[in-house]
Order: sequence, then structure tokens, then C-alpha cells
Amino acid sequence: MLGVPNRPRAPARAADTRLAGDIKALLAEGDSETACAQFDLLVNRYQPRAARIAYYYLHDPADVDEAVQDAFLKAFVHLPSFREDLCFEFWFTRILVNGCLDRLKARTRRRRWVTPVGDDERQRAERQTAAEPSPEALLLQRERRDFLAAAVRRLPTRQRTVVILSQLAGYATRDVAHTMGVSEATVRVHLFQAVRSLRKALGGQRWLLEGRSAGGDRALETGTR
Amino acid sequence: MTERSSGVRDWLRAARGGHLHDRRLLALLEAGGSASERAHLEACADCAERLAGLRAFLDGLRREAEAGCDEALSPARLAAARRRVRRRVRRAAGRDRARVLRFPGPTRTRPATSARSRWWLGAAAAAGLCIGLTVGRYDAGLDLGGADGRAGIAAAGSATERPADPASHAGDELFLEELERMLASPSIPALAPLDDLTPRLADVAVDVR
Repeated sequence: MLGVPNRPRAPARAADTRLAGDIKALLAEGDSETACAQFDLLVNRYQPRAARIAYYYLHDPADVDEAVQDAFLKAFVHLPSFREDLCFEFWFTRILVNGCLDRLKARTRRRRWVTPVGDDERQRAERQTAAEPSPEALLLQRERRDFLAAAVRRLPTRQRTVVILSQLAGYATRDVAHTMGVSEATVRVHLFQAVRSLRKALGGQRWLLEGRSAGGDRALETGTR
Repeated sequence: MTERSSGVRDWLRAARGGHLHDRRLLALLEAGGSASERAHLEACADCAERLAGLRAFLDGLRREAEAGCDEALSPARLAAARRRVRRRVRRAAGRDRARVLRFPGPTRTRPATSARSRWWLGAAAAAGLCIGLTVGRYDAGLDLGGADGRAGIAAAGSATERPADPASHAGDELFLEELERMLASPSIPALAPLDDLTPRLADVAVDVR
């Protein structure tokens, strides 16, 4: 089994869904003060994970902040229409992912018409302020991550979402299927294709395979086995 | 997993020379796979090696992605973002309404309704006008000295007609003198064509007239 990051357990999810239902009831009663206080609990619980997912899509901390804020706000505003038979986490994640995809679309459109000024410089400066290793190591690290991010970015939207949710955010296939509104088999097919494309793109990157056994590259190279 | 699908999978595996498909390897990483697949992995070094390679690749992918994320999103940044989310949610809930500054401009007065208040309003306006006129006359007389002051204003109106400055007049004279001296000086033959092209003052004066 893979060492996936801390996955929220089913009882916690059920509790959060109940909490969302309670907030919905509070809003219906007009008790917005208690509703806000209860919603804070959900914000505390989901914000770090949401920020990670948004970062895997957007790769810009400022954009991540905005996307996560918008997703929470949208979730709160639309809580009256939340169906309690659905899981709050999947519902919220879907809002977040759609928001990130919209932002990516808007960014692509903007870049087509406007020459970006200072984006790279700003990102570089942000990275350098938090950096401790030597400039060479930093440069290497940055190149690796940019390369990786570019490979993920090149994947078709659905494959990218599957990789981000299942491999980077640590959701189970079933959870990804619920979030995306597709079958588990579809998720597996997208994951397989995505991993194959990524291995082709990153095949020569030895740093990514540190600690792998010899001959490991053979898997998924052709996808015919 | 149904028995039927497991049977089909085993048949397909046999068709591939007994090896597991990559799709199954991915599923194995997540869910552990069926008993027959696990047994195959124990027996087949090739499939076990491919599985290990796949695991290493995905682990590396996750490791690098998480490291980049940790670097970009510090706990302080996340905490600040959380505060902003709370603020916006409260604002959306209407609990923490944004202050609306009044646009500067004339305030709307309520129209007087009773006849008595209308009478007072007219009387106050008339009294204000009388007081204003009286004070205005007194103030004008005080500042400008009555008739002398008004004469001063008239004098100020004609102040644009300044007397000629003797210094500038002398400068003009010098300039004209120098011009005449230059015209009287002997001309250079090489510049004669240019001189011919240049209009004479006398010609221009005739044209103007």
C-alpha cells in the first residue's frame, strides 16, 4: 500500500456532513452567528487540504489563497441547497476543483492577450526568501519541481484531476469517483493513462526514482502488459 | 470484486504470459488486489519488480509535489488565509457588514409641512438677507475706505497700462543701432545670392500698406 497522506476517515466525514446539515438548519432559522461559528470548524478542518489541492493546480500561492477563499465562500452561500445525503467533503472538493479549473482557464486567456510582467520574478523571490540551501541546490530543486508541475499540467483535465486527488491529495479511488461524479472504473482508467503519460514525460528523471529497484522503469512504459 | 471479473482477469493474465497488467499493478498499490494476484506477485520476480518501480515513481511524485507545496504554503500563510476566509464568510452572512461611507454632498432636508413653519422660514430668510446686505456694505466701506476705496478699484482696473521701462527702452535702442551698423558694413561676395533672396524691410513695408 502506498503511504498516502492523512486521509479523512469515514466517521469524521459523516460528522462533517452532519455539521454542514446543522449549519444549513441554523441559516434557515436565521441564526447566522452560530452558523458562522460552526462553519469555522469546517474551515479549520478543510483549509490545509484545500490549499494543497489548489496549489497542485495553480502553483501560485496568491491564486491558491483566492481560490480556497472563494470555494469556502461559495460553499457557505450555497449551503441552503446542500443535500445531506451527499458527503460534505466531496461536495466542497468539487466546488474547489471547479474553481481552480476556472482560474486556469482565465489565466490561459489572460496570457494569450496580456504579456505577464514580473510573475516569474515574484515567484522566484518568494521561493528564495524561504530558501536555506545553496543557490545551485535551489536552482536544481526549482527545475525539478517546475518540470514535475509542467508534466502534470500537460495532462488532460480529467487525468490531472484524478492524479491530483488520488495520488497527491491522497483520496481513495471511490472518493475520487464520488467527487468527480464518475464510476470507479473510469477513475482507474484515467489514473492508468495519467501515470503512463507521466512516466513517459519524467522517465529520464533519476531523482524521482531514488530508492527504486532496478528495472522498475519497465512498468507502464508501453501499457501493453 | 466479483468471481466472474476475477476469472476474466486470470484468463487475460494467462494470455499475457502470466504477468499482471499495469492497471492491476496500480489497483494493487491501492487496494492490495485479489489472493491470486498477491500469490502471483510472490512468485513472479518480474511483476514484483515492476510493482516496486511503480511504487517508487508515485512516491517520488508525491514527495516532490508535497515538498513544493510545503515550501510555498507556510503555516503562517495558511493561518492568515483562514482569517480572511472567516471574515468573508461573516460578511456574506451579513453579520459583519461593511461600512458604507456617505457620499459628500448636500443633505436632503425634510420639506416643511405646517403653515407656521413656512412663515418662520420666510421671515428668517428675509432677515438673513437684510443682515447680509447691511454687513456687506459696512464691510466694503471698512476695507476700501468708502469712496477712496472705490477709486482705488478703478485705478487698479487701469493698472495694466504700465509706464515704459527706461532700461528696456535703452536695450531696444542698442539693438536697432547694432542692426544698422551691420547693414552698413561691407557685404561678403559669397553671401550675395543669399542676400538677394532675403526680402528687404522696405519691400515688406510697402506690401503691408
